[in-house]
Amino acid sequence: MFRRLKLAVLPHRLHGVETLFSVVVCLLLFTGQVAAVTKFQERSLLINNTEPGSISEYTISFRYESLTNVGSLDLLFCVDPIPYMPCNAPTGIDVSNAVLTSQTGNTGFSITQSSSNHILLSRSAAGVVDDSRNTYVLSGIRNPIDMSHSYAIRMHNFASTDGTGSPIDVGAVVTQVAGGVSLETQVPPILLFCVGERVSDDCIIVEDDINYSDMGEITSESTLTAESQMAAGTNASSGFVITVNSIGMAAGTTIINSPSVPTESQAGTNQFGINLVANNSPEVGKDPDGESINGVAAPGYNQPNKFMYKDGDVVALAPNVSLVRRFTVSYILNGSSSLPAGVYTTTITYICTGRF
Amino acid sequence: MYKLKEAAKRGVAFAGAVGMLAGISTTAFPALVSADALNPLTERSLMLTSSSPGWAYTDGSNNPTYAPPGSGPNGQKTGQLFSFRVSSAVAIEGFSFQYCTTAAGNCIAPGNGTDTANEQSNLDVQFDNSPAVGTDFDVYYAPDNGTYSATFDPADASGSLTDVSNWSVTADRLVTTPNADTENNYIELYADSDASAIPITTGAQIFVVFYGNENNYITNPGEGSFFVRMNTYLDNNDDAVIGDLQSVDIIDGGVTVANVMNESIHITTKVLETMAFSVGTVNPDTTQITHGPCDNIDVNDQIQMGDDQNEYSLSTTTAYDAKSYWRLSTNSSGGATVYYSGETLTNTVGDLIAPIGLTATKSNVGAPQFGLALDQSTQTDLDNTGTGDEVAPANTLAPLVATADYDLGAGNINGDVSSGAEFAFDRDSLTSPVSIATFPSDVINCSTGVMRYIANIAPSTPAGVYTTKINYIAAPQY
Repeated sequence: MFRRLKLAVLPHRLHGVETLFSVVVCLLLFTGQVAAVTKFQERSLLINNTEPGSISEYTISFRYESLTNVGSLDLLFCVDPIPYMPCNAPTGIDVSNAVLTSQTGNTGFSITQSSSNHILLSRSAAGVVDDSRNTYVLSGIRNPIDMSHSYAIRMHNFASTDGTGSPIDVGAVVTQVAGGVSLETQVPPILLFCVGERVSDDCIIVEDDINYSDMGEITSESTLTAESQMAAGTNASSGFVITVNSIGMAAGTTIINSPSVPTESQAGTNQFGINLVANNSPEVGKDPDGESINGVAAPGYNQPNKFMYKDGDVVALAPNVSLVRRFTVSYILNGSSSLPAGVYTTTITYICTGRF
Repeated sequence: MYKLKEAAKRGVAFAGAVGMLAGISTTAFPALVSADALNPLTERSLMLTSSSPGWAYTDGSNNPTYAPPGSGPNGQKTGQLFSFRVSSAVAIEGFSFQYCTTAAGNCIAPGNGTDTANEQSNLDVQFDNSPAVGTDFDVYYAPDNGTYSATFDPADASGSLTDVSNWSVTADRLVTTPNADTENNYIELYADSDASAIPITTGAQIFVVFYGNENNYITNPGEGSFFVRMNTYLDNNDDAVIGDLQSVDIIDGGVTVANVMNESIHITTKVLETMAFSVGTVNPDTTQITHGPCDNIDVNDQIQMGDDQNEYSLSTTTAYDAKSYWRLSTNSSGGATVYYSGETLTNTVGDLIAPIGLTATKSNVGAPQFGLALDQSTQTDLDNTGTGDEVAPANTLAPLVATADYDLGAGNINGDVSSGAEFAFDRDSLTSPVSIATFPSDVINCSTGVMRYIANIAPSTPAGVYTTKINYIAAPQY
């Protein structure tokens, strides 16, 4: 139908002339558009690190105003954005190691030229841009060091792939480096430790401050027992240790022996020992409890129904930061029939040390 | 003597012939009566919205953006304001305006051609697009012979002036010697009925306004001056036939002149992209040193956060806070967004004070927390002089708007915190900056952000010196 229409409207001999005329008009129109320099639209620049002199990632976004062939995009880093003024590079800036890490919108670009303040993005097959918003992310850019003023990226695009010829769109984005806000504070060393006959598992309550226990009369047929409690917690990065300090049960120069390794309670023998776990022979003690699980009874003092005692031994510890952990210490005392009469006493001191 | 008599006879005959011819011409050609020969319209004036030639209608950037119809740079679509007083107390039902190159005699339409590319344009009157009273034209008349005023803004008409209704306007070409040009040079303005006639009194002012807009306008000639021959009419002939005003109905007449200058003076300058962004710990407005209203935040000392009686250490029983400032000015037409980027408080062995959370969270003393938010509480007496008058635009966040989760930084952090401050913090901001304030649509004159930080610790928070650096990033959109 179109062919018939064309033949009807124009004599056949004029087809060539008409086509040639159309091509010339289109070329003139096209050339006119290219020659008109317009501005990139919706231009923005986001730097992910504004610290002066640091390596940063620059995200440049904009729209092309002229929807025409674009083969290259020129980025020139200058103090001011005026396109026709001499470019003074911002002090300290270095874009020579920049890497184009991502691009959206009109894509296909790669870095083909770069210097300390200049990058040329090119794409081998120049295509007509569309009006989508474009984002080009350049990493590895060293920020300038002068925080007193802003600096600009002057942007031009060209039909050529090497940044030559007349620019199509121009525009600039401006940004500024600024030092970050430094905050400093201290978390003070914290060591919570309490000892008593009964203490709460957060160490806030120490019942009646009772620190004395009468275990009764020693016989060879039974085992005397007693309990005390202590709780400890610390923010020391290497935790805490609790040592027990005393010579043991003594009456004058007579000292009741203490097993140096975990040993079961045996009535009729001279024994003074402790452990920090629940026992059923004899029934005494509790396992450690409380919010933290980092605090544990030390090896040798963590076996149920087995007791030992050694002056200066570590009886509980936490290998790292620990909230408050409560330990119940069980004391057992046995005596043989040959044990010299007397009043046997001891004062046991627990020392908790934070390992900061 | 004979010659003297002969000359006298011939003179009398000549005078008689001249008199006869004058009488005949007056009777036979009433339409040729010159407007300025009638009862005069007095105090005639003509104001143009633009004196640019008709081929010029762009601004200094050669774009029509800032040269809309009816504006100074636009000579293509102009408005005109006629002002005059009438001599006759006769109700008016019509006006005519004829644009010519001369004040009297043959009427040649003004203009120098139609090739706009070569700076040519003919005067042209366009009222083809349903012109309406109040929108495209207006006629105001005074109640007496006092002095009144009107402008191109209907709101400026003097209060006692009366605006007509039910009037119409039309345009045509009316020249003495037709040529190839077709542009209109003649306007008729008439009452739609006798009831709409203007009951004018002698010496009263009339204002006729052609507003000049996109659809109905007057195009200036390309060069030179032009004259407008004006008449008033006592009858619109009631049949509302366009162009039906008759010369026999003319009441008063007059001529006014306007000169069309060459193209407007174009002034071009450039406003470059600008941005000033400063970050620091001392707001100059909080000092008593002399400073400007939007000076940079130029002191950026390290902030010591915590109990100043205990070497700025934190506590499991008290929350501590600190503040810093940033200030942004930019002429970006698309607004700007401010982001933060940073890590929570950490020590040298990798321990950290836990971020308070991604969403707005209140202070919880005894639990590890680090967060930040914008404190938007009203600030008074910034410089601590007791005058309380330092609340200024420079110390407000507006027009920036704080992002949700970061907008409630004012309020208690200890004691009753039920309505207290809320904070948030995103550790991922270190690699992906997080928005804390944004404004999407205009320039930002001077916005100041007051950042408030909070820190709490638990008994298990490892001891040590904790530090962090928070960077603020401004990203305008031009």
